[in-house]
Formats: sequence, C-alpha cells, structure tokens
Amino acid sequence: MKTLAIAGNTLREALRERLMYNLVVFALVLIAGSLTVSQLTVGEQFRIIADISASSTQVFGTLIAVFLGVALISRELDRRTCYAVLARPVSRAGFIAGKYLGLLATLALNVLVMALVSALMLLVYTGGLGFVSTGFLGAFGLILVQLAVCAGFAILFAAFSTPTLAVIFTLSIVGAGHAFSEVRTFWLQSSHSQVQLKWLVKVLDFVLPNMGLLDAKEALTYGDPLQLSSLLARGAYGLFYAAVIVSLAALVFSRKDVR
Amino acid sequence: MLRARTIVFAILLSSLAMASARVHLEPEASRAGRIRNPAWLPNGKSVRLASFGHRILLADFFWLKLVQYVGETTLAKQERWEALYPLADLVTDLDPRYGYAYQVAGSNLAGLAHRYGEAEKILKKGMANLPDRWQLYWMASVNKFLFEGDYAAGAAYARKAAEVGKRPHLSLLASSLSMVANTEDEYRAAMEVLQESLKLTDQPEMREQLERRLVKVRTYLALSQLERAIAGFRERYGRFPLSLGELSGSPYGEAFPDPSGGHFLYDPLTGEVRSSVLGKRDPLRVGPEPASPTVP
Repeated sequence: MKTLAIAGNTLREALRERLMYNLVVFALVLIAGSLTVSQLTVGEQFRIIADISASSTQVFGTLIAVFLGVALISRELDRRTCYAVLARPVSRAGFIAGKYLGLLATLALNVLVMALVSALMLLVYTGGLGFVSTGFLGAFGLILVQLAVCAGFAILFAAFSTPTLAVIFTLSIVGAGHAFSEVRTFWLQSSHSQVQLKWLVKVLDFVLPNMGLLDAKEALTYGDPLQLSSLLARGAYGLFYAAVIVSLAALVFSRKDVR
Repeated sequence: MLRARTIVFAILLSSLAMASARVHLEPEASRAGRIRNPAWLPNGKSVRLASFGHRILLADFFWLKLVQYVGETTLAKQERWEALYPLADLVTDLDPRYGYAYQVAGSNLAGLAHRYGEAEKILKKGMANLPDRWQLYWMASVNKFLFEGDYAAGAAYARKAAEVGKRPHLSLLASSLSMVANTEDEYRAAMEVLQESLKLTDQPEMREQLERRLVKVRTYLALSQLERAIAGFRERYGRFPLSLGELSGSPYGEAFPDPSGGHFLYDPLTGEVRSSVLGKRDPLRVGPEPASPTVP
C-alpha cells in the first residue's frame, strides 16, 4: 500500500517534469511528420510512417525512461527528500519499487499517447483501421516492455553512482543489448566461431537484455501476425528481467549510506 | 548600456551578412547529401550492427536516398549509376525482407542503368531472401527477354514466377518466351508449366487461353522436330524428302494428325512444313492467343 502511494506520488512528480514534455513533443512532431516524409518515397508509404512512428516512440521513450529514472532517484538523494519518506515505516526496497512503478506508469502513459498519434497517422494514410493487428499492438506493447528494462537499469545505476554516470551506464547497456541481439546471430552462424565465443554468447544471453526479442517493429512494418504465446513469452522475459534489475537496485539501495 | 537602435542596427547588419553568405553557399548546399561515389556508402553489415535496434528505420533512410539518387540521375541525364547497386545492397542488408527495394533496384539497374549483371545480382539476393515473392522472378524474366534478349533464361524465370506465385497468366508469358527461344527443351518446359497452370485455375477464360496455348506449343514442338528431321535429311541426301513419310526416324507422316486437330502440310520443293490449322511455325509472335481458326 505504501509502495503504491510512493508510485502514485512519483507519477504526479514525473508528470510535472518539463524534460519529459519536451521529449514527448519531439516524438509527436516526428510521428506526425512521418506522413510528410512518406511522400518522398515511391510506394511503401505505409512502412515509412509505421517505421518512423515506432522508432520515435522507442527512441524518445528510452530517453524519457533513462533521464527520468535517473533524475527521480538522484534528486531524492541530492535534496534529501527521501529522508522524510524513509523515516516512516517504509522499507528501502519498497521505496525503490514505488519509484519504479510510478516511472513505469509514466512510461505507459507516454507510449499510449505516442501509439495513439501513430495510429492516427496510419488511419489518415490508410483511411481505415486495417493496420490495427497483433503486429501493431505487439510492437507498441513490447516497446513498453523495453522501456521497463531501461527504467530498471536507470534506477539501479542511479542508486549507486552520479546522475551523469548513471545515464551513460544505462544508455551503454541498453545499446549493448540491442547490438548483442544482432551480433549473436553472426557469432553463432560464423564458421570460424570458436568454442569460447559460443560460451560467451551463452553467458551474455543471460547477462545482457536481448532487446531484439523485445522488438516487434518488423511485425508492424510487414503486418505479420504475432502469436499470442510468443508475445506473452517475450513480455514475460522482459518484465522478469526488469524485476531482477529492480531487485538488484533495491538491494544496492538498502545497503547505501544515505546520510 | 547599448541603445536599442544600435542593437537593431547590429541585428540588421548581421542578418544582411548572413543572408549574403547563405546565397553564396547555395551551390554547396545543393550538393550536400548527394551520393556521387559508392565508396561513400557504409557497409551494410556494419551499419546493421550499429543500428541499435533501428535497422528497419535505417533501411528506410537509405531507401529514400536510393529513390532520390534514381530521380537525380535521371533528371541530370547522367550515365553514372555506380551507386545504385551499392545503395540497394545496403538497403537490403539492413532489411532483407524489403521486397519492393529488390524489385525497384532490379528494374532500374536493367532498364535505366543497363547494368544487367548487377540487376540479376540484386534480384537473386531477393530470391534467396524472399523465395515466395513471385514479382522478383517476373522482374528477372522481363530483364532477360526485354533487355538482354535471352529468351530461354527469361522463360525459365517466368516459369518460376508462375510456379511460385501460382499465377496461371504468367505461364502464358513463359510459354511465349519458350517459343521465341525455340528449342525443343523449351517447348517441353512450356508444356509442363501450362499443364501445371491448368490444374491451378478454374476460370473458363483462363483455361481456354491455357489450353489453346498448350495446343500451339505441342504443334510447334512437332513442327520443330519435323523441320529438324527435314534439315537432317537434306544434309544427308542433298535434297528435300519427297514426302514426310520418307523421313526415317520421324514419327510424323502426312496422315499423322497434328496436335492442333488438323494435319501437317509439306512442300517438297521448299522443304517447308506447316500445320493445316496453325500454319507455319511462327515463334516470334508473342501477343495474345488468337481464336483457333476452323479446320479446313
């Protein structure tokens, strides 16, 4: 209950952030602009609108998750506002979980707004709702799961380092997660692939977040139907991964000297 | 403290200087972003690794560059198309499912750039990545017969397009090209694809077209075999045979009914053989099938 109260408070606090609105406006302008950009191509307008919309949501959503996630924790520590909360019968883990859930709610609202504007653009172009498929819903749903993982890392790093370093660490690990999902295929397919490399892939499979598994933008582009079981498995992978990271953040924050 | 009038004057002066510099820089601004040399393009696999989950968006970006490049090169009436294949290769490295990119690149590399090897290469890459996209085989067929004059290869691609796309009308194109290629193997391949297409369609008009074409191909195959036998006879004996019955080793004679429902007519003076229904073998006629004439 206390955790939910912290989450609600975090949501209200996040909705007052000017930085978030700047990023959301940028994303919305890009999504709306995709209709104009699509006029530059010969055929394939739909995919241009869909790709720009989904990628804008993902990029700006990631930036919001990282900057907001880091700011929510580091500001509490810098301004010592967390003392007032922690002085009450609230566990530190509960505090972190509340912060994380509040951030997640903020991200969900952002993704919803961006998905609605994307749908509007596609509606204007296609003149119907035929594009609303499991691909569309899956793409935006999995973007939210990706953002949940990003937010987890942002809170983890913010719990033990400076804001600047936390942003750098989070963006690096998210970037590594994306790059690894591409690289692993090449590594595993390579005929020169050595045994050590395959072991490295196996280890990294569990250490790094495989962002490729949480990416269904291609299904949106090509209107591929997504199996509900696959979607649920991917969602579960991402959410449990985020749960591990947030638990680590809670552990780190519990041992942190906040004096 | 500076007076407002001085500040306004400074703004106007700076604006004037900036505008004149901008006008002066127009040629450079117009050149920016143009692809002049394919060496400027990055490697597709490297870009893919560095795309951080946005490879499809990057494919779109380079696709727009490709469209721009084709437009600019066409408008400038330049014969420099070096970057078209590398651009298409880059786009399809980033998104191997970008079927339309293979098609457009394959078509323009052959039709506009006359770079037939590169056209076939990008279309083959598409066929490997999207084996079910019949348009790629059809495009390769068009390039082969229209630009390269290779009717046998064109027919082979058209047959594949008909088979992959399950499009019976493409087997009509394939059989036309086989007849132009004018070899017995091609006639047999054409008969096979027409028979397969007949199994796929239940539209009466299409079935009629296919059946009429099948009869034509069978008749042409028979005529081709007869012509070859007559030429062999002439080479051996120094004269034309007096009748088709004189041809040893040929299954056909004057009394043998030709596949079109008539019989073969033979002129021993010229060595010319023709069908009483379809006339002379005329492999260059590739238009729509005319209705069968009545048997004389």
